[in-house]
Amino acid sequence: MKNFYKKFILVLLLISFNAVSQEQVRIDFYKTIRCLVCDGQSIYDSETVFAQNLREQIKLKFDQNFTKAEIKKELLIIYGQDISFQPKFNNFILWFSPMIVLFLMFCFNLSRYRKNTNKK
Amino acid sequence: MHRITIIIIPIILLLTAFIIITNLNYDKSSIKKSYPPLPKVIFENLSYFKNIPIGSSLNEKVYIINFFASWCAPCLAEHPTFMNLKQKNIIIIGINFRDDEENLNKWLEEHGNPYEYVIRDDGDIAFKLGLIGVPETYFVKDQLIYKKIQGPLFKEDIEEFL
Repeated sequence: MKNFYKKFILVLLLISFNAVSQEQVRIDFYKTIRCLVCDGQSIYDSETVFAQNLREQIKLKFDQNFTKAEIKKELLIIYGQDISFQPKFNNFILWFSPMIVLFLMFCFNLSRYRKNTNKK
Repeated sequence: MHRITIIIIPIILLLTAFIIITNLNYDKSSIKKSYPPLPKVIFENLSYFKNIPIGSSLNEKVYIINFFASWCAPCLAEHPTFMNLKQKNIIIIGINFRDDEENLNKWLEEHGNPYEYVIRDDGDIAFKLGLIGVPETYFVKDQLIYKKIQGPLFKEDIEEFL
């Protein structure tokens, strides 16, 4: 009988641990999805009807054993890149132009510095 | 002229030219958001008042889908526009988003029912259509979403469509 209780408690613990870890996976996923009503917040932080509905629909998808990648793909098809906090890396000029300008400025200043030191 | 300046100036000019050229070739239609296809669930759903699947009786090529709710104040602002459209015999499918059944009936009784079909949605259709907030209206032509209006619909919005 004692053994039975031990096993019972162990199973209960395993089930609750699994539930907690699944919940954590969901929460982490919610944090990567942008609320389109209040742009700065994720659907985890936002309390808009949009965010609430999206959380429910995503939870349903998780319950139906959809993977995170599958859900993300569907969200991107429906809402476009805006929905993700990690947009596609397709704005090359936007990302790199400050670095290019900085590099050019550095080269220019270096040449001036060298010239000045040579004069001295 | 410094040697480095001779190098930098052409680089900056080339970079500027590159940015201008890429922007000239930029196709504005590519940023126009393409809408998701109409989910089948709309047509399989039973119409709330008629108790028949919408797909079995909807023959029109042009119709309007409107998300509304009794708890949504802006929905009331656009309601006269829809009553007006009903008089012009335009088919409107009303999708009642996350609403209480009793409140829905009261709301339609009080303000009038402009909808040919009403579907009750607990969020599934809204998700599949990419709803951001109620009210939201979709103009459909040949089973494709032609235009989407977020927020209340006014006379000016429908003139182009009609």
